[in-house]
Amino acid sequence: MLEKLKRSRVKVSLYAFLVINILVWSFYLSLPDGKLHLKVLDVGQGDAVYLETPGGYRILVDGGPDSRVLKHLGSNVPFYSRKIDLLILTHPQADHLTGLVEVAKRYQIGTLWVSNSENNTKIFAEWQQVLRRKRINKIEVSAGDKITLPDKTNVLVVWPKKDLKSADLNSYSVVVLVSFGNFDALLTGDADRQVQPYTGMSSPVEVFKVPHHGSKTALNEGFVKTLSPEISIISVGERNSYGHPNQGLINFLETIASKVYRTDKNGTVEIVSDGNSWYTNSQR
Amino acid sequence: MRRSRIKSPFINRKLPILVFLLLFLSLFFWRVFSYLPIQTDGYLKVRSTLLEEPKEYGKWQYFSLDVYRVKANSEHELNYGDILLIEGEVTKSRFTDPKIRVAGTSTWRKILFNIREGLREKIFEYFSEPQASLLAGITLGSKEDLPESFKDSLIQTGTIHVVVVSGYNISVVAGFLVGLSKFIKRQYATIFALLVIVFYTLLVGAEPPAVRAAIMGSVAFAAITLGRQRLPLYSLILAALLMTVISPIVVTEVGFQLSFLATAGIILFQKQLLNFLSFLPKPFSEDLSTTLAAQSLVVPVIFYHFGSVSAISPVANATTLWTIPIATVLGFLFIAASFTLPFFAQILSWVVWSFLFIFTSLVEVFSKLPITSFEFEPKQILPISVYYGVLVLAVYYFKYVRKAKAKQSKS
Repeated sequence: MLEKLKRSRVKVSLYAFLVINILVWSFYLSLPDGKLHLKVLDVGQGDAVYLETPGGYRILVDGGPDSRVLKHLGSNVPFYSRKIDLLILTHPQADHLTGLVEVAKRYQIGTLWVSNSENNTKIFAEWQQVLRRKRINKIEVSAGDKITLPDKTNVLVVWPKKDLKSADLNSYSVVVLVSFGNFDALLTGDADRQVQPYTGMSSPVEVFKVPHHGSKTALNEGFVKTLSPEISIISVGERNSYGHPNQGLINFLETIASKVYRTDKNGTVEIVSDGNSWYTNSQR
Repeated sequence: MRRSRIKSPFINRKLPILVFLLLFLSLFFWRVFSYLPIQTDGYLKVRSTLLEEPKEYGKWQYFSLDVYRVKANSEHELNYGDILLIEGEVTKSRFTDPKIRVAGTSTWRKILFNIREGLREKIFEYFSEPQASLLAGITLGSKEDLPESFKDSLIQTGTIHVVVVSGYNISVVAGFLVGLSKFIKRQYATIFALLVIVFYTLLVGAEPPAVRAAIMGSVAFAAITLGRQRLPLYSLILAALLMTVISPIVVTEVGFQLSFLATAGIILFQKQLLNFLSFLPKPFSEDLSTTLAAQSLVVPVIFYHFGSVSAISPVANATTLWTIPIATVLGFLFIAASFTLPFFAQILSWVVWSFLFIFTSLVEVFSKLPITSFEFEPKQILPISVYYGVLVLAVYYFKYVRKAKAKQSKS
């Protein structure tokens, strides 16, 4: 009996040693590093962008076409936290919304930004129901709305303009400019060329999330030239049935010397910035 | 005198077991192959209870019913626990757009389902992916949430059986608990294990494969208590045979095959493997020997059903599987705590997360190693036969020939 007790004590202490090590190291490695991390997640044919600000605030823009976004969140949100500080649904179409339904069920949402639009679909009805059940308040935003986080990260809404009337849901996409120091990234949802240029956007940006998965009608070329993005990222699924992204669009981006990344070829694309310089990491 | 000492234990005790086992295995596989083709094509009427939530993709919804896959029009309002009458043409075990009538509901199944849903939500509240769906898989038997990429990694490393088949877990959890007879009498440990089996079976929805696994597990592990060496194996085989006679179709179920083989493996090889692993610190050799013993008979059947085989699979299994019984047992504790003591549940969830994290990280690492997984054609009988043949020979060699030689040289 004593022998057995001793044996299991050894075992329990070894397990405890292992568990404590994993927890301490995971905690240590998850601490914010003072840099802005922007990840265009590989979620297939849809959009999902995850940001961790220098102070460790978490922002998620769209959730992709299925629950793949959950695994990405699992590896980005530390084990001890279930919080997304700012969630943005650009517009209520399935390839942007579906993943968010599970996200809203499983995570604590600090602030939710949406545009003034609705969709008559099953998934949108489910989304509304989850928001009610979890008592998540949505804030309808429009151009000019802004949030400044304590770590000096700015999130500025540049589209849709107030009182927009359009038959096309894509036109209602919430477009945000995320800035930290001299670094700017423009996240565009599906707001394609018919609503470009976005309100008040005339200065260059470093990172440009190409709207509408790089479709033929995604870009107003004159406007994108003024943005002169150093890199452009297309969130698109492999072998999708829409023929996204459009080859002409890629050629155009290359002629204005913008380096093009695509999630179907490069996987998840990460940009890290300290406010002055920045670099990219891609999965493939 | 010497001759008889060498031969008698073998002839009197072990040979019948081996012969019986071989006969049974051949019967087992013969049934698998002779039974399948009859059912898979033609016009059929099936009445059965729906034991999953249909998955909807646009116009169609998909689900399994009995042994069939069904592709049905999304307009049918179908829920877990509905008793369905399905009529239509079957091709390769698949119904496409059949006539469907809901003939009633199984209330107790619905209640179990709702309980399980509640528990699942608790898991998702505390855990992130892929650990959340892994825990839901091993504790509640819900398989639908696994992220596709993680599922691929599990298949590549040959560890998919941990989540897809509730039967396997029942055997392992029961074996683990019986092995826990450290502080309490063996009899009490067994009673405890039996109670856990019943609870676990109800929790995973008491689906037929789980119930069968539970019966086999209970019979075999209860027999262990009686302390007679051969009894557990014989009772296991008897239970399995009875079920096969009642419904021959069970032999085609992955769950049935895996739970039978895992239990048999534990009964047959656990002690021997423990001796063999005596160079390891005792606490680890105990867990490892249980998992390896269960694995020894199960591995080829997994490959048979899931196709791909990676050379890394034995290593992946040996290094990751020890975390599963711990995560399962602590996972149950966590679930219980999440309803009563949220703070304690939070702490416990981190501990459980650590074990799941070890499992998921190792699986991801192993699946990315450049060791090619040779794509076995699934459903091939030859590799399985070779494997079991070699296993029987190896057991024979180690147990009898080597022992006999050692004894001879001693004397």
